[in-house]
Amino acid sequence: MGTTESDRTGGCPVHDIHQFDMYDPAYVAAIFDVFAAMHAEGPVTRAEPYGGWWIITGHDEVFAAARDHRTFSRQTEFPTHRFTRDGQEFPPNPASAIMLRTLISLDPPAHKPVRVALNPHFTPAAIAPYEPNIRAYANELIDSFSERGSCDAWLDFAQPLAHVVIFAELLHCPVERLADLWAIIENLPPNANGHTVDDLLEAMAEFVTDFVLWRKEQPPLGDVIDTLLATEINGQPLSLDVVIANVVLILAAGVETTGSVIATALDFLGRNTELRAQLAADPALLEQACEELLRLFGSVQLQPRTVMQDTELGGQQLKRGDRVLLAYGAASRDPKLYECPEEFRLERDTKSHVAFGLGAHRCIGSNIARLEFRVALEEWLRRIPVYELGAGHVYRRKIDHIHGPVALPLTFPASTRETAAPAGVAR
Amino acid sequence: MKLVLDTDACQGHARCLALAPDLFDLDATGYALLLVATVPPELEAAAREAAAACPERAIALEP
Ligand code: HEM
Ligand code: SF4
Repeated sequence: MGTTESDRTGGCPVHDIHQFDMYDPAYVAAIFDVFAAMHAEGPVTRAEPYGGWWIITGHDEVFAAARDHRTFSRQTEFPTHRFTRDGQEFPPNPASAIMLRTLISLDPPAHKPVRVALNPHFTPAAIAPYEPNIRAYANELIDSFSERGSCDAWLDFAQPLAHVVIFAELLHCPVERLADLWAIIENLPPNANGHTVDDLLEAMAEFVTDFVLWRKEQPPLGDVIDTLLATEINGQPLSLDVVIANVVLILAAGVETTGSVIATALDFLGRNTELRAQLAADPALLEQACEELLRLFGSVQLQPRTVMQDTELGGQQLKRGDRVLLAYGAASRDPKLYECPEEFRLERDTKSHVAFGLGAHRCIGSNIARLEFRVALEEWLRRIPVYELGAGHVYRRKIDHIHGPVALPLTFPASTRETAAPAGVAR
Repeated sequence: MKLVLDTDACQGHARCLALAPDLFDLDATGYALLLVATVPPELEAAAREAAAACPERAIALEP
């Protein structure tokens, strides 16, 4: 089977990889062509905007750098949080500064106590009970549009599903409160270049603060929120603002990421109808198909690091203080490792894809994401095995480094609802 | 066949237990735990698959 990738990047102009700008929509739209051009030049590419960054695209080099936290520190912001495009450095704003105190920005050893405290909430055994609920949410969402024969698969399905799984299942946030969240998201100021973590943090801070303060007054559930409230680093409990920032991190890292992968997969299957029919006829293939889709379209494309000591990587000399972007999305398409990396091949050995990263910060939510992705496709293909992509599809960068559709209109033969009483998951 | 786990390299991706639940579990802190040191012959194929599936290359097999 050799289905080719979505044609959305087809015919794009060749970009100058040394001027690669992760915030420029033209580069975002052509991101996989840009990565391919970088692979052709070497595993480590210098890009000049924002003061100069090393883009690590080779699988071996990403493997080495992501696992070496002494040389490559995660105490780092995304380019626009500290640099103007022409390289002027400015101090972090308070919203960005507090993110530097969350799980994802702590280097070991400070990282370990927080990670170890949270890990038990994310194991396959801890996540397994979500499955029937994810299935029910997916069907409730499909019911909200099945009779209409049309929907926006991002706005009406992937995004709300990703939200409810994290809020209701992981964070035990009452489903009724989701309406407040939709209002916040819908009121986010329009931003043609996608939202930064700062925009999101500011928009969500109020909601999350209310929620965490409310949870503090409730009997403990022994979940992620209670664990964060009880976690200490060097004998000091996390301050309330750091607990809140960690909850925002979990939302930022867990919602748009998984939703984007689901929507990108529906987009891809909308273009590759033979594969879609094969998967609809034999859902047992979905587990492997999901891994190959994660390899191709893992939504987290780039993650920042700062070089802590001079080092050589992929034939380049990196100096202490240099800034680096680990291109996980490129490493999962390294032609040294994968034959015709841009092709979907169901039978491919996908074990070494790095959609969830590597090293101390590797995705804590991978078990949730994998389960949610598979169940979402199982239920979608069971209910809507045949659909047509509509016009108006928009693919872009969201929240700095997460890529995926923000509009995915499609049509399909109308069908009846399966459930009678909705629980309020749909927006 | 023996299983050797590099506990510094393991980051708890849980791919090993997905493929070989009789050989691996996660401990209370979320990292891999070997359930056996010596792999029974009927689980040797599963052990090889689990070792190949570890994204951190933390699992080694010794004869
Ligand atoms: C398909 C969906 C997802 C993808 C592609 C993804 C990808 C990633 C990647 C690549 C990293 C590593 C970052 C780095 O190296 O700097 C990461 C970390 C993280 N992810 Fe995910 N993720 C997904 C879903 C989730 C979910 C569902 C959650 C939570 C419920 C989550 C929470 C996190 C957190 C908290 C971290 C930071 C972990 C740490 O620093 O120890 N992610 N994710
Ligand atoms: S797959 Fe590798 S890193 Fe993951 S838990 Fe198993 S041994 Fe550890």
